[in-house]
Amino acid sequence: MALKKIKERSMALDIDPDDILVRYNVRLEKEITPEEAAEELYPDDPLLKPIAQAVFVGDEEGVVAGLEKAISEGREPLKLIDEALIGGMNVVSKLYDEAVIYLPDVMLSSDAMQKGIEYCKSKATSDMKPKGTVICHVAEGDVHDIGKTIVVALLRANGYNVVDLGRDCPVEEVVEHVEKERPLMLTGTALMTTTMYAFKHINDKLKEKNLALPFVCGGGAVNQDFVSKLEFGVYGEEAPQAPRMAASILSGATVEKLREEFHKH
Amino acid sequence: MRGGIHIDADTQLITALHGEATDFVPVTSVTQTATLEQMKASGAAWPAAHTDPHKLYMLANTFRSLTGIPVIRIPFEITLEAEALGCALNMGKMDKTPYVNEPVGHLPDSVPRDATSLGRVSVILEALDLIEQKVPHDVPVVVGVTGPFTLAGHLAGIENLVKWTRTDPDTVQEYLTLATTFLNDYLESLGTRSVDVVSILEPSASTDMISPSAFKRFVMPMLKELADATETTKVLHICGDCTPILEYMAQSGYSGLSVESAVSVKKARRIVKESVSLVGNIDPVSVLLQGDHDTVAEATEKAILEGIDVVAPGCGLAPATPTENIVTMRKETERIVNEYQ
Repeated sequence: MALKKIKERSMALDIDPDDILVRYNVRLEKEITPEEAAEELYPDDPLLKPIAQAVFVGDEEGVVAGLEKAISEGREPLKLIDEALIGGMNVVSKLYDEAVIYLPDVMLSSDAMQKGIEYCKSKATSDMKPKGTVICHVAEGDVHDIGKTIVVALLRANGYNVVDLGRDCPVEEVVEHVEKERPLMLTGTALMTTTMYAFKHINDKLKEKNLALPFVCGGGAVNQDFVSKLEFGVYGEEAPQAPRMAASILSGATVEKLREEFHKH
Repeated sequence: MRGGIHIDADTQLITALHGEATDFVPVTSVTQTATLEQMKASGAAWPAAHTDPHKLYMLANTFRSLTGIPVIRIPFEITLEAEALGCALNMGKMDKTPYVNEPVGHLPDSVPRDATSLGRVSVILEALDLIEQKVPHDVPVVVGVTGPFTLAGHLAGIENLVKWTRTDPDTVQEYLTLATTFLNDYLESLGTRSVDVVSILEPSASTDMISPSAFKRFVMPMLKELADATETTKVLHICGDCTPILEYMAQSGYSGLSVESAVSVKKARRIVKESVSLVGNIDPVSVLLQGDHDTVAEATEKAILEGIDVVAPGCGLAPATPTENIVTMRKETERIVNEYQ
């Protein structure tokens, strides 16, 4: 009978302060539309704002039209990548983190941003020098590459040269590319518990070959405990962390330092 | 066992799933059960066990004999429906589940009239016949079936389908309608065998993939249609933190909702009240795969004390999961149930 009581008690609406806070949050989210939430986050500059807005709603044509106008008024194409396109994508990242918007929104924004970057590059008089190279892949046997696609888009948007090895990428191939490219950082994503062990094989092979570098692992099945056991492993919980991690590495962060900075719990 | 009266495992599971006030908490799995240790013990391993009905039955039955958890749960993967509708698969390895190599990429004209004779549907039906012959009838038989959105994602390419929820709702509808038509036929053919529980697996409809409003608009009506079409006891499994869509899941016509550890059972109960039972939510990775005796014991106790109706892994087992941890999940459930009676 006692188990029945446990269930009854768990059903009773006894007051839990945590729950009250959550309830307010939920109400807040329901009252504010994504557009309203985004409104206060856009850059103020009247030439940049429409571009960031177009990135947010995933309007590719709007992005290009906005860039065209800004460039015709004397703005520098490469600076627009930073100020307008990444500015817009940052709004997307923030509201995605807060569950105001969802994955489809991020994918459409990322497409629009990518289009904008290509346009800016085609209009630029000087070459954009990449900040460094990052290799991204999805674990062998895993075909879920949505997470990786977003990581790649955000890294490129932030000025990194990305070697995208795609999905279901064999361990050997990953190690070969690291050996050849000597990147700043390697990322691996896995959605399935059945595939994440490939990361351990990669880590061991890198160690064997003396190819020390931060190996950022993330995705549905992957957790911090698992990644922390890998010599080079840094756990990435959310895609927007990837460019921030790369920036930390550029300013000298080691695997140890990255874990201090980015690991939660 | 209770007060000297024996209650069969299948009756216990079905009763608990239907949310009747009980003083027992069954332990089961509505998600993938096979592990490397079971493959070794049975001599039936992946990938052969996906295509050979006898091996499929053997491996599923070994979960029961090694862990003592009274359930036969088949199959071990969520691609056979996509294969029947024309997707090419990679059958995986001993420790990797099969996956769709390439989506069909276009909308098939229609579901073939004899769709359930395609691909490996017959393998499942034959395995069910073997189970009927060889396994005691009080052992509940659970069949996992890929959900309509996940199946549509296999056909269209999940990236496309996810984007179309915002840009092209009509095409999403078309794919979903096709997937649901096929699934209705498949469920009908499963209805000709003795199946105790159908577990609809809808990982691609999680909040990690689509918004709650897209779930309500596109997925919920299809899930309802499937639920209405079959009289078998039904469980709906969605991965990740499905707290924001629990309300919709509870309205879709399923007796039980299977949730992961990302969902607080307490919060879930407050949302769904007594309308559905809650199944889960022992973490297959940090608890069952990586944990030790104490980790499993703690997670099991927490789930029960927060009011879970049926203890089960929160998602499919990783093949390397030690049998010992699964046994601990069962023994702890039994210990706690006894203690509170």
